[in-house]
Amino acid sequence: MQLTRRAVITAALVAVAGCHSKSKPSPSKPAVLPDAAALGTAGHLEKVLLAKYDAEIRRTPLHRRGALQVERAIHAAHLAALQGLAPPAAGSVAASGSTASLLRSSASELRRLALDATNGAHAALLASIAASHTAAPQ
Amino acid sequence: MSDVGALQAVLAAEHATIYGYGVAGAVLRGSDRRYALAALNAHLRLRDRLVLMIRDRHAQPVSAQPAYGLPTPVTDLASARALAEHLEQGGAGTMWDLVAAAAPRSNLRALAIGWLSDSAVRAAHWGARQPLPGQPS
Repeated sequence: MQLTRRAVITAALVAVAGCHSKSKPSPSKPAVLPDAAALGTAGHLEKVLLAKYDAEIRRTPLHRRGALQVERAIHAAHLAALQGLAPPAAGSVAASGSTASLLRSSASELRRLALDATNGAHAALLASIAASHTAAPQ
Repeated sequence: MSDVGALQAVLAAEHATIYGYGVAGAVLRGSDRRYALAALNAHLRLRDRLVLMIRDRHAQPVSAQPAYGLPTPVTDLASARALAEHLEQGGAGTMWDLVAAAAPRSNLRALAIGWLSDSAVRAAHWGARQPLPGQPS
């Protein structure tokens, strides 16, 4: 018997369906926080920015560090607010480019996460952090 | 809060903000006055847009009050800047609520997210650099 393309696809679908039925969550499985991935991504973005500010503060003379330290404290507050909801996503905190470009790209990503968030309070928090990044002195 | 209720709250705040910028703008000078005028125009456009959005939802937009109480008397540049900062922070609070009330991936949420950022930028110009603009206290 010749193995047709249709037969292979059908077999694959049966296999996937079988896997699906076995992977149904049990009633005792803990509930997943809505938007956990988005909040984790936002937390990681803050960790990247904190690392960036730390590096910038280290190479700035003491008497000129004030404004940078204020900005760093703002991102630490963002991270604290997010960590209260979900752990930050894992990943490298090294980032190329300037702080200003990092702020712009993270604001854009945060706006996207806020738009997609299923929970309204999470959406507002992500939008507020995006607003804060947008309002940062550049 | 429903999205119409949240839109009405933003509109009510816009009415107050427009009144307040009129007061602050009369005292401000130079670049601050120009910035206040640009902000006032942005708020006027937003007010008009909100009125249309509320009418589109078959609701009657809230009206402006004849006058609004000011948090502190506006007598000089510092108090005028402080009023402008206060107005933007108040508006950001209503926009936070609108983001929360709007449906995920909706045009309304996208607009509210942008308005919250605009408000934070203007508040920062007037001296309010907050970690979480609009967050309820």
